[in-house]
Amino acid sequence: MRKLGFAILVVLILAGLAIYTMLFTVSEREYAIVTRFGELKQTLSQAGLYVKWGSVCDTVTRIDKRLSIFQTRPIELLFGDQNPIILTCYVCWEVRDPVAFYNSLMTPDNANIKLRDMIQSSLGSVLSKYQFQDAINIDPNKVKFRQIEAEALTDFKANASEEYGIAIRQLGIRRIAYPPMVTQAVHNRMRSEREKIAKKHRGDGRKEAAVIEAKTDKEVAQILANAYRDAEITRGEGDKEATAIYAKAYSRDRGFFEFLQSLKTIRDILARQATVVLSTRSKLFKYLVPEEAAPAASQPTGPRGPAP
Amino acid sequence: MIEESIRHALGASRRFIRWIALMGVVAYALSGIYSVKPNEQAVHQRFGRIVDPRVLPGIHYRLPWPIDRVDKVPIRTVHRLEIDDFQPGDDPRTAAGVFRMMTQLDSFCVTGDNNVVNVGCAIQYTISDPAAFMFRPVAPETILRAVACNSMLHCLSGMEVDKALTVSHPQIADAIYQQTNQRLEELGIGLRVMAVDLLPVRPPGAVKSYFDDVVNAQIDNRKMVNQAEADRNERVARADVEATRIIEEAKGAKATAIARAEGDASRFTQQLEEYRKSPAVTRCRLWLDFAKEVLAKIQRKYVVEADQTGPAAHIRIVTP
Repeated sequence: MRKLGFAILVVLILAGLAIYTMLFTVSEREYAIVTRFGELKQTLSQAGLYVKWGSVCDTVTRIDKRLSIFQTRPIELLFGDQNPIILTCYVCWEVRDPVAFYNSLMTPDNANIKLRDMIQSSLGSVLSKYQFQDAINIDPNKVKFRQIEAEALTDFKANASEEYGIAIRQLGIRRIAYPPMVTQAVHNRMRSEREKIAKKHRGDGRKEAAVIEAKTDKEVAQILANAYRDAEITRGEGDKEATAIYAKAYSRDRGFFEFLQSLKTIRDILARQATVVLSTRSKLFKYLVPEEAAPAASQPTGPRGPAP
Repeated sequence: MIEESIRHALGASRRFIRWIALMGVVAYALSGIYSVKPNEQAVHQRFGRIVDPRVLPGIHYRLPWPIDRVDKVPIRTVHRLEIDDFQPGDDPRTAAGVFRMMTQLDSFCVTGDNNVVNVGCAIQYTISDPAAFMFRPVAPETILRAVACNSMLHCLSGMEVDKALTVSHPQIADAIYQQTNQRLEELGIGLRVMAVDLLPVRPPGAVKSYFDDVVNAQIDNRKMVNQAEADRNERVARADVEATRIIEEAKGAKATAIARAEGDASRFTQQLEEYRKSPAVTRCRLWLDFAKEVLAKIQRKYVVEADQTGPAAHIRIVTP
């Protein structure tokens, strides 16, 4: 009874060991290839629990199923118009055909080397079909960036998948740079462009200021001219009213007005330096000179006296 | 007696062992209970194969090890990634530093008018698909960075430098957001960009002073115009004052003229009234007054004989 129990236990342990070596799991991250003495037995692309019958003789090779990214070093390439450019690219790739990948003795490391060579040639041939303006343009609709990437990807897919069991999921340009010579030229051009813009701003400012100044001149002249006009109108009104008042008053006795006015005028005309020659027959000397000596009409050469 | 007690002891220990074994089995079975926190989601796998790609927060049961496995992913956590690939810098830990080491070139991004700028952004992203994130990409953050750089290049290569430096920041951020998400979706690595914050866009150091000068020139421009406006305001105000003065003066002159006229008229009228009473006397008196007033002031006066006729040559005029 006890011996039987022991035997059962041993059998169970042996069976467990056998099962343990025969069973293996494949995760979602990997493919598995089962080979027996190098001969391909099974390709497992679904995750789960599997049994390998050959047990010890079978080997399981696991191949990464995940999406990897490979980034190139900066590559100098030429556009179709001979413009040089330095590009860095990335490529997202994964193993699609594990057997092909396994047979071409690929590892992720040497896959990257292959990818680098392929990218360089694909991108070089695609870029030579485009002009510099197709990548860099102020009109966003003329930027054929995505088209260049898509073409390089197509070119690239054809090579990679057939030979190495690799699928390229995405290709993108990650960085654009200019070779040192071009960088210098670009900097110089940027400087001169900025200088031009700065000059334009200053020139515009000066011009606008001059326009404002001219307008101001005009406005000031206009204000003063209007003021002059209004002032003269006012003065004219004053003169008119004054004249009317004078006319009304003076017209009451014209003779008397003329007499007074002429006195006033002569008074204003005669300066201190004037020389006056008076005739003795002047009315002024009426009582100095005998009456009969004086003729009826006095003829003063100086200020004219009033008519007798 | 002894046999009985031994048998009893054996039975007890056997029961005890059985009890222990049962406990062990129960404990093993219970080890499959697990909880998912509110900010997490979990991926449930059985022998490596995904059974449930999205286990929601709460208490759950899985078969114990080694059959089932659960990986928890913090799905609500927002991660931040700073894209500094196009920023200046020598630090070999940054992308720009690495690029510099490889090529001796400065990092920058090319704009559509073939200028170069330094630009960067901070990307906030979350894990949108836990299973995809766990099992699909080898280096999710490296992919995200490459895709974001690509979107940034694509956006700026169709934009003028002046816009990139000033007004188009929201547009650039939006373009990066859109394109990065689109490309991430294409790859299906379970990441999603939530927000893109653009860092300041700057011209590279070698030409920076020239860009600053443009800004200064704009300021100068405003200054000149403002100065002219100020001058204008001042001069117009002064002209207005002058105009007011001229008009007021004229009004004054008008008032004066009228007043004088009225005064003169009144004086004349009154004089006239008196004159009419005795015209000859008044006339004579006025004339004599006048003669006195005028002749008194004049220094050189000559009186000639009335009979003396002939040319004025006979009159000697002595000039002082």
